[in-house]
Amino acid sequence: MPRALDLRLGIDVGGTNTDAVVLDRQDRVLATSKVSTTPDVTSGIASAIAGAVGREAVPAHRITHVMLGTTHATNAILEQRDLQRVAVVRIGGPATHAIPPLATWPDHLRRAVSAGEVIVQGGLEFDGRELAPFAPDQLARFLESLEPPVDAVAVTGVFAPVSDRHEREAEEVVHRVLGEVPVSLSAEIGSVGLLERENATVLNAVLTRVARRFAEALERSLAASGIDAVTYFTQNDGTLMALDYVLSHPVLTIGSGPANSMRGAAHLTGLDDAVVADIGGTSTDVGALSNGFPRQSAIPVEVCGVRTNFRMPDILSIPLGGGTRIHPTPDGLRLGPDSVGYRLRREACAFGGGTPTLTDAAVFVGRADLGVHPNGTWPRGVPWERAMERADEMLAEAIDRVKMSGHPVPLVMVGGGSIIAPDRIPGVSEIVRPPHFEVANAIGAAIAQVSGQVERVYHLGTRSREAALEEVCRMAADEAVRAGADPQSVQIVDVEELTIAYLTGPALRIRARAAGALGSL
Amino acid sequence: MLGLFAALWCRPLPRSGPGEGGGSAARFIGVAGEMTCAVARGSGRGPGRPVGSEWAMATVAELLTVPRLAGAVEPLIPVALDRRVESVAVLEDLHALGTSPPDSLVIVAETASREAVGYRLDVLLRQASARDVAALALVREPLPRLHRTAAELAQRGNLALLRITPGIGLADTVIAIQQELTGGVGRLLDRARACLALIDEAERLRLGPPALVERVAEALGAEVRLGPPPAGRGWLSAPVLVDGEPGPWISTPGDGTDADTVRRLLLHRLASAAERLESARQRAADVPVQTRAELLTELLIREPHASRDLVHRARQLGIPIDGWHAVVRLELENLAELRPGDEMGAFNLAQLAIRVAMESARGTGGTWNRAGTGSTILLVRSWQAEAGSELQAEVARAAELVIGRVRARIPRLSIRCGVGGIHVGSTGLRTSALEARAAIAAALTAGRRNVAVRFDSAGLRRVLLQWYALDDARDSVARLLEPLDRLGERRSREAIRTLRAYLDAHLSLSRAAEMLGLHRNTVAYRIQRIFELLEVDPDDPEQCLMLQLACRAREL
Amino acid sequence: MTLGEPDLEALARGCAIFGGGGGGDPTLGYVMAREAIRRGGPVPVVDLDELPDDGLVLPVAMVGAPTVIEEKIPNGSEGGRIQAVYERHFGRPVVAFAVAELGGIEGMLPVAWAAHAGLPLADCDLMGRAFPEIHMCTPNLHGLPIGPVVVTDERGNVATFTSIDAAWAERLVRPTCAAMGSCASLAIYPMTAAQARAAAVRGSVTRAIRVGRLLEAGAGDPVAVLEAEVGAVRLIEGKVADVERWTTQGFARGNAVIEGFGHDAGRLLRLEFQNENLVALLDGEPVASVPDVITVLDHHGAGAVVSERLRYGQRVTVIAFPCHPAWRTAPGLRLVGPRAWGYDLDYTPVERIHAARA
Repeated sequence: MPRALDLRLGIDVGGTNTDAVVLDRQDRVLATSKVSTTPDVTSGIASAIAGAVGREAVPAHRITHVMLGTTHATNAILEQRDLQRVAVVRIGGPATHAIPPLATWPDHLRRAVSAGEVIVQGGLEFDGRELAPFAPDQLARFLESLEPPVDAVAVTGVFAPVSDRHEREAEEVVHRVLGEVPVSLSAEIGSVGLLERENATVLNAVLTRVARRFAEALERSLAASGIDAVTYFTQNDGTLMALDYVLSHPVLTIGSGPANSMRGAAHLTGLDDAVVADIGGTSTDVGALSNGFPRQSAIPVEVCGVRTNFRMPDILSIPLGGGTRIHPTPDGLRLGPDSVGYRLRREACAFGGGTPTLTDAAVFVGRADLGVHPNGTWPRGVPWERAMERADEMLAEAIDRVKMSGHPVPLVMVGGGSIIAPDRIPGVSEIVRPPHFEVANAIGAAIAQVSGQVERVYHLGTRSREAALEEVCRMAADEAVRAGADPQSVQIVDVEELTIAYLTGPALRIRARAAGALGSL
Repeated sequence: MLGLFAALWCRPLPRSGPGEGGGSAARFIGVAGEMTCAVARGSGRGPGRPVGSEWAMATVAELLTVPRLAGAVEPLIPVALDRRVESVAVLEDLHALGTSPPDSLVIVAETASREAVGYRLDVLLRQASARDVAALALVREPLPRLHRTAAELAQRGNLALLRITPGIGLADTVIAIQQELTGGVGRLLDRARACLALIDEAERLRLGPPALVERVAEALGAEVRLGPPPAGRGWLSAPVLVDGEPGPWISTPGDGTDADTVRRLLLHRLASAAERLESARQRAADVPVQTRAELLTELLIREPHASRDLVHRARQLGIPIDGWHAVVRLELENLAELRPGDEMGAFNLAQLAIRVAMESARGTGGTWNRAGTGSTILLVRSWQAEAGSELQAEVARAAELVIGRVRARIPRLSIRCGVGGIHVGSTGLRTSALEARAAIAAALTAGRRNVAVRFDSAGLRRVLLQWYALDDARDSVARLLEPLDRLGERRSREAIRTLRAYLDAHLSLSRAAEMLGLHRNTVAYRIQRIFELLEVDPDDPEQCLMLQLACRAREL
Repeated sequence: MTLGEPDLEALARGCAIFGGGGGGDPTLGYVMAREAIRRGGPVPVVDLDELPDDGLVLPVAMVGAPTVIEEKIPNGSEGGRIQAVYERHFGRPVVAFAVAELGGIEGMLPVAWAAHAGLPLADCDLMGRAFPEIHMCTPNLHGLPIGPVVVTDERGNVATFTSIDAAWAERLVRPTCAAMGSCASLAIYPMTAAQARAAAVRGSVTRAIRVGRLLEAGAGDPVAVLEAEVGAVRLIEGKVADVERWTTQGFARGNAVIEGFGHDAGRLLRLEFQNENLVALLDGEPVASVPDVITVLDHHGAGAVVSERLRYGQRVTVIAFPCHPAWRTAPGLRLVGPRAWGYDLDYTPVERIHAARA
């Protein structure tokens, strides 16, 4: 029986910490908790939940929705844990043989996950014509020849983003020959760019067991905590997918951490368009928010050595943090890139350690108040002010690189190292440091919207641009609803059009994204 | 085109008036057949300018105010508009800029202007800056956006960048500019002619005197003031008479030359125009009140679905129809008794009552409008922002005041008065009117006269009980709610509870959801189903009111 | 030298420099070349002097939309198929493949085909840089026939064109390429080694590899390296402040504005491009133009930036260096000088412009 929205529990599992927050319907923060991430992940989650839920204001039975963001998928690939054996099918013969499937993968990963690769005849041209007729028998023979176990199948057809009909036909063949194995179709995973999309599709198939096991473990944790709620996972663009969608699209959870942190930081400040800077001990991550969503990276993103065209937030990382070391040189100074990291409280001058860091510079110029002052134990000859200036320049430059235009934008600053930042930065209209920034990730998960993104290539012969746009937007809205959005609240958030050069007929590549508030399914 | 230019520039230019030094000169550059650039140079003092400025040149900004150029020339960026222009030239070939003199306004002919885009514009601007050209004018349609590099180059070169609309005669343009540069009475006459045209138009457009004076000053290129006549010498002034009484004066600086005659004529024409405009304005102020009352009355009478155009007109008339309203309904009971057998007299009495009522209401502050016909007066108090229900007491007090004043003017007049609740929009207006009427009905049963009775549910509870006691009333309620009752006792109760909350919350889903402790979507879904089942139109305030009553009756 | 897997990265980096903003993303070509070398072994790169005078040299390239090429990767047999057609036609063996266009993906593909065929790669190319149309090649200036031009696709279709001149070949090939799905492989200007010695741009492959090696990430100032290796001049160092793009007749045109910083603070560079960078104007004054090569370098070690990847906020240095002397002749300028692209500018060699400004 679907329940009306009451309290939301947002959980973010990061590399170091697992955070949890509870929000009410008005998005007020009722409870937060932060614990170290555990190797098995689920016990960390259970502790985080215990830290936030169960108090008077936050009874477990009132939690109706749980949103989870996790690095589990990435870690599973990195550590090669629980990965499925996947049959890799590419529909594109006679084209594409010059680069076989998985040719760019690191050897060890490929050996671990591939049950076999094939290029089957078929695939499409950019205008939807057949490149060659699909050859189901060829595929069937390949599948029959494989040594069990074959846990999942990844299917990538040339120009599947234009029409997925060959991929669907291939799916039927797989089910006929291998039975009910999970099949990942590339049209649902990625956009134009064969190798990157194929890689992402294979990763998706590889992760299906990980996703299932994790989801089950999560359900158990929740049940043990007395929570009966609808579960969502966050994607790499900061939006949610319902549980059944995650089980078939696990690869989309990769990289959701940065997206959550950005959206959480922005939500706390109420800004839809801003630059977000997370200043840590060793590095600063800077990203841009547009319309409430993190701007996506334009260049392909690599996951564990495999090139994909994922929709990941475009985060610029610079080696600048609270613990960054200041190195005086004969002609000036050098900032880092090394840092004392978590040993800050032992090694920095401000804590009696004697190693000059940016935190010390901030204390020296009066920007940070840690209750200490420069004294005799501090090394001489360190150009503190110059170091601070240089750090400010680096930060300003990073922000400028990430901005979308020359207009001044607000800056949301989070992270423990933000004490080193100045009060005014060129190109920034105002600096906002929200409360609860330490659990911004979990908040981002909790407030996420449900989205659907669709990319299609249209050959504008019989169809007008307007009709094509309308269709893509409609498909994106449907995707959002399929992922769990309330149909009445779905709106088109972003539409991107790219004309394709060098084609004699007009062709348009349209990417549309729709998002909506959580529906009560 | 080239031949025409040659002819023009062969003639000596018009001579300036007496008392002005210098002459004007024209020069050819190049030989016929290769001529790509023609130059006119102006010099000498011209009349009509404030004392102390340079006569022989004009700034770019001043050139833009030349009447013949108005609307045809505009700056593309606000740069170098104060730059002085000494001469004007026409460029037919982009490569020939090298011969342009410094401080000139270079007009790029249409064909060449079409090529002066993109990087070519950059190159042109750079070359023009190098020659210290003052301004560059391109003949082309409006640009969506000027490229960053072009804007930057113009800025750095302190070069004004203008656009001339294609199709206007280039020769005329050049002559007009040249005349401006030379000065002379001709220039003033030209401008004065434009001012007269402006005055005629202003009367047609019903501009107010201050607006008219401002525009004339701009067209004249000189200061024109409306107000007390300035002290000091050199000023020419003409009085504006309002209702035969002396009002403000219109003044402009003179310079003691023949040109002052032109100025004086202009001032007098301007003054009489101002007089006519002012009296027209005063008359017009009275009309809207009448029109508004008529419109509001019609709005209240018509069916809701047929009122959309009225709502639109209401907005145009400045009635804040989209805001919050409270209606005070005054029924004049005994007009016929006070003027037995005299219909005309009764009518006049009603008119008097209406006038006094409106004045008194307005005197309490706020936005008041009136509606109603015959012996029923509706006074509508409106607010732009959300008005809390505590303001209803204020409205009631205003109503009491109105009753008092009207009865003071017309003793023995018996008035029934009801005050409706505060509701939003045109629908809310109707609702409030209905409530006011209902309040009067309630007052009647209690025999209350000459007092303002407020519509509030507590006062009506008794009425409700009495009403529900009647068998007919019970049947009506049962019939109305039957579709919900068919759902079963528990569900029917839930539905009615939801419906009541929704109606009580003035049809606000969010507030109803809060009141009920449900999700907004749940409430929306339920309400939709309920209205479908009941076959009631949610936009009809009477039906909704009936529903509200029925829901309450159920809980009695 | 022998081109093995480790050299491919350097070649890709060098090709991007000579690409002058065009040539496409070399990654795909790089992966193809690597696969081919893994299957067929490393590829010898031979100077034209080392080839028999009448041996057939086959310059090869891909034509089509980059978006399509990224999806519909070639089969790998295209090179061999083209080779067979030419050997039948001329009655002679092909002794080497060659690069037609030195830039991006086009610089890497011939390596793949040479590896597949077990043939060497001639150390030359036909442009010395990247240009978008197939008749913009140095042999054209020598009056050598462009054909027969052999076009093939991944399915095995082969079309052979004998055209009256190079411009006609371009006109005939494009529709065939479109019919093949906007993606095809071809060979142009088949020459004997003797002819190539006079008509081709020599040493291109080894030069690109050398430049690529010297530009290895983190190894000193890239501009200094390019100044020394190709005579590059620095046009501006700054930040991309604006980018405008539009498509006409199937070509992506546009311009970018770069705002100078540091030494160049206060200056604005306007870069006009049509895939390849065509004209650079500094504060309204032309400081470099096609056929000289104008390349945008990313400050953050990513090498050359192709025009479709220019974006607001990127920190870049724009350089220009002289093209092959053949393009500076009158017939060369007629083919690829600024006016050939619709720019009303006279060509001035970049080194002369900068000597005058210094």
